[in-house]
Amino acid sequence: MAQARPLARALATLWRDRAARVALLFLGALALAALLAPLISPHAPEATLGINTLNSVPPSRAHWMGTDPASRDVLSRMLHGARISLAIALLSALLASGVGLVYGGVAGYVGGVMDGIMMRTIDALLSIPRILMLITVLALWGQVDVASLVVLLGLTGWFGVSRIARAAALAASAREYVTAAHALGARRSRTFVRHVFPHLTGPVLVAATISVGQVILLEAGLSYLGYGVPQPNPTWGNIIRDGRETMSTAWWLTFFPGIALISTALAVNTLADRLRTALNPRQLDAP
Amino acid sequence: MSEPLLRVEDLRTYFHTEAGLARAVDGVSFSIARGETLGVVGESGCGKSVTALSLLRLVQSPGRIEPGSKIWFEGRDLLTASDEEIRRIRGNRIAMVFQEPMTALNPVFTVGDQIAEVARVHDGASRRAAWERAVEMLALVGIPSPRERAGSYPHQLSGGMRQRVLIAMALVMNPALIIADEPTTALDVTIQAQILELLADVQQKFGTAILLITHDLGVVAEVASRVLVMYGGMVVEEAPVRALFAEAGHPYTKGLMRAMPRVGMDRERLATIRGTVPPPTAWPSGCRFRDRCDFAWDRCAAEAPTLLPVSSAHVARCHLLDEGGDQGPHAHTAAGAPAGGAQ
Repeated sequence: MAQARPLARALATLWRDRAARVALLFLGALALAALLAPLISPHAPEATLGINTLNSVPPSRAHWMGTDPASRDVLSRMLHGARISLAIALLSALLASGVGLVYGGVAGYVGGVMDGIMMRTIDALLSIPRILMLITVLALWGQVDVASLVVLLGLTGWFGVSRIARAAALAASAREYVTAAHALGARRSRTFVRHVFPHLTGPVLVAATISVGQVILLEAGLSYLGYGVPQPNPTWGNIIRDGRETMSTAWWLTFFPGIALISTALAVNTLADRLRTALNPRQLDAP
Repeated sequence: MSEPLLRVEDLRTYFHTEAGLARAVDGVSFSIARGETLGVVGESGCGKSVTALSLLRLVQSPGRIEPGSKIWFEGRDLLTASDEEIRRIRGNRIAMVFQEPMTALNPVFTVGDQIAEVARVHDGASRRAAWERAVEMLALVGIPSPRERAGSYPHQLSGGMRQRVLIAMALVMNPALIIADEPTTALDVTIQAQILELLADVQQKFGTAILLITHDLGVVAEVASRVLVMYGGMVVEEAPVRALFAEAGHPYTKGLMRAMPRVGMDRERLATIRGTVPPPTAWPSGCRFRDRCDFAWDRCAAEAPTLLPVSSAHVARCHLLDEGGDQGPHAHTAAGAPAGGAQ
């Protein structure tokens, strides 16, 4: 209840910023299109419409984004692809920030040797490139379903978040009201949940938003390399993969998903940046 | 005479820092009777706040209360109590009022919520009961329309009101002792007077003992019955408040008195004590005040003074009081009679 007011104020601040508004509207429209994909796409995403007559047709009024070499409608695949790509990105970012929030929060609050051990572990894990880690696991695993991919992306994405959460926890623990809470006899666990944890959510929300953008690109990259969501499920990365050999003749196969990827990542990053400003505690504390 | 409420014996709190051992509190002893107000006075860095935090075992690493220190409260040694025992005492039997009412309140919770938290922590009171208690407490500390104010966020209240809220938080469990660390420093003078009055009121009503920490002798004069003057992590003078103002025994206390403005004073500038407090990692040998003392002689460097009687119940840590000593008297009469130091 006490949190609702600052959050509402932050959202209002966000809406007043033009770039943030554009980003929000774009992402909102995208999310809506993804949700309604089964209703609004002209064809089923896996339907081959005529393997000899309708393969690799350039964009036209019948097929706004053309068709692929298997004669599937690219627009329908894009819409269904958005569902999978966005769902993977959101869920794995959620998982990553949840884990990172708790891990980093505890490390920063507990401090001392415990903090040292926990954060050196993070340093070690961060020194391995995430894409390498993912490819290794996926190569060993063989084919994965979407749920496993979400878990995998989530569990490799929280190291950076935990650093941010730790820094915020360190700062919050040094506040006088934390000492005051101890002086009034609150347990350490209670003080953490009540007085430290709420101060982590802002910075972690920003980090989570950034990681949504990263994961969208990462998932596309994995799909492109053939390690992502299995065919014939459409994801933006898969569509680009389908078009990679015919890029010079059938440009629409790579162009539309590429544009979608770039715009989404850009919108998400803009949003994250403006969110950081809007969640500034100085603005939260102002009367 | 029965056992005092709080008895501190040889409290030593050291900070084991990379810059060396900081002896922030170094052998402090005092006691507080039930319902008494003890004022603790001293400059920044004299160890008064660390003493307060030590009483509740809230000193953070690298700070440590050294073995051999004793803090007796209601018949038990707080330093050997378990973490759970000490947690039950905090906020319940001993409560603390912090200096900065802005930073000691969490900006994201309503003040009612924060007062209610104390009751929930110690009594396991229900949300509703705790909230009612919070409203009651706000009324007690003189906040108008307490029911509405309970729903306010800290930033919506003035500094004086916020300080009242902190006092309300301290009072929830009706503690036997309130430690007030510079409770009026962040407030302007008229509000200061109101807050001091409130503390005196509370004491009258509930018989609460108060440990009042301040750098302001004026505040002490108003509310305390006994005063502890601290310098360099030690008690340098202890006296009933009247006795202290009538005749300060320690050159440091005299210096503090001269630095205080008085009505009808015709001097342009206030006197100051020269120099600054040395860092706690490097206290001077012998008397820790000697570098800044106008009366210091060789004995002060060679030998640390002990607490010597000035009059009954009035002691000060100064070689000047050692009438029996054979180097002292000649030297100090030459430098100026101790009584003459006051004016």
